[in-house]
Amino acid sequence: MNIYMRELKAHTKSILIWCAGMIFLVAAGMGKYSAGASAGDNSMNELIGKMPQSLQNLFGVGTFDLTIALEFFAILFMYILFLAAIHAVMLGSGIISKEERDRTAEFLLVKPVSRQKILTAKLLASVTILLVFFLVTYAVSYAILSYYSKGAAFEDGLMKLMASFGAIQLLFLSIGAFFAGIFKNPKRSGAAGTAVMMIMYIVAVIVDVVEKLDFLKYITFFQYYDAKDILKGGYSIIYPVISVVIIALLIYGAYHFYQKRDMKI
Amino acid sequence: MNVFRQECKMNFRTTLLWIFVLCSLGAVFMAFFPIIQGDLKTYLKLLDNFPPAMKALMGIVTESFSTPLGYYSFAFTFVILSGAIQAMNLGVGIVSKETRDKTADFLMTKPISRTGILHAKLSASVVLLGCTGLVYTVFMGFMIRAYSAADFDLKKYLLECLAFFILQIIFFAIGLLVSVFARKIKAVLPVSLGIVFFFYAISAFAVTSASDKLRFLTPFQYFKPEYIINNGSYEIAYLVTGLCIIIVCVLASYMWFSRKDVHSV
Repeated sequence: MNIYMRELKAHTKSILIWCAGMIFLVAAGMGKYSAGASAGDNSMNELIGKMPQSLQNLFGVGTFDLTIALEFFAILFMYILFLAAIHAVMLGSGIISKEERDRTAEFLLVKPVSRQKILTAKLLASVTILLVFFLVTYAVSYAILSYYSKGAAFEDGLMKLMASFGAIQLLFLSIGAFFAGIFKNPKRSGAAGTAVMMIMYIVAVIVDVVEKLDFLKYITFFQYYDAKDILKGGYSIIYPVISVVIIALLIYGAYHFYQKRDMKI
Repeated sequence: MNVFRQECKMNFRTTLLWIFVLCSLGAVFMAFFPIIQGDLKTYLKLLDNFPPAMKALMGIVTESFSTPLGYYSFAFTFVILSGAIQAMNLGVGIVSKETRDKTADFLMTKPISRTGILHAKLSASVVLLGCTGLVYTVFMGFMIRAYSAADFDLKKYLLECLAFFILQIIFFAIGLLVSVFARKIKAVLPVSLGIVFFFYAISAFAVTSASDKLRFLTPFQYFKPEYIINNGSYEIAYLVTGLCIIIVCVLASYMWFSRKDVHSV
């Protein structure tokens, strides 16, 4: 419990900054939304509709109707997810490896708590922090969407999107924790987590554009929660299942390796 | 000169790694060029059934992607993103590491002024970033040429590469300022990633129109590859803004750092 409280206190400032950044992003992003914008005349839409999916993605057109607040938000949402992923992966690796970075590992490990308990407390604290970030994002998105939607229904769609937000948070938190569990060098775990995240992001972009590489979407978390599929239907239940399995494996791995490895003093 | 050499040596391996990352990123994107090319041809054939006016309109959109250099502009976004992370890491890390690694008192007691230290660190960083840009430019230049039939416009390509370098310097300068202003930066990666991706997310919304105020907020939008390809020049207003950011950040860093209270323990 002490560790839990300590971690929450230590992260107060960073969570405030992240929340402020997120509020700004959502507000500035939705500020660009204008409901009055014409959707273009029909022949243009037809032309775009005929475009192969790969080219649509390449040019960033099609799929979403930018005159509907929720669908505009869905485009913004990819970047929100991205920000959440960075936050989570940094949190997961940092919260464990910082003891070694700040040379407090000795101090902590001589206390009468097992490593397992330490890890549990730290992970619980991380989840709490993620929850705060989640709720703030949800609240600000809700408020801004209800302002722009002008009565159009958005609650259901937003709820689905936010569910994927939470899933991405947990996935990347466990990636970060996993690397921090393995690597002795505190700098390396953060770098490894980030590298994995960047590769996933770029693979997600490539998969969008190059249809032949569709099978690669299983290795990138960002494709598990594609706003297109979530909002437009056709979402496959397989992805949440894979996510749960991956999270379980990673967390297990984090415990397994962290309990056995040497600490960097 | 000693500080300069030491910094070059310390960052040498990281820079090599980044050069590798950037080059392979560009190469991976270019490898998909033939596939995209195929999709594009099919689509253009389809366009023949539409009225000529529509065809012309879409032709403008698709044409830019039909040359290797035009297609490269699409990959360029991600190259810039990686380059920005590299530069921001360097900027945030290069001064703050003295405090973090507790080498500040060692360095400060040497017969070298604070401005002297900053001179050396700055020039080392510029050299490192310059090398990155140079190797990348040469590598990708050959890569794109290999895909081009005869239409490789060297001047425009070099302009894009120069834009990449200037952007790196902008991000480096911002990072430097942040690190000098902060009392102590415990870990570089979370700070630099947070800043870079925040700008990246903003840039996603600053694209809707040419005369967009939001574009000034994010360096990612200062050099649009489409504009460079179409006009063979930079947008002056943004170029000037970028240079101003560099000058202001560097000057402020000098002023602040030369009178900063550096904690040695």
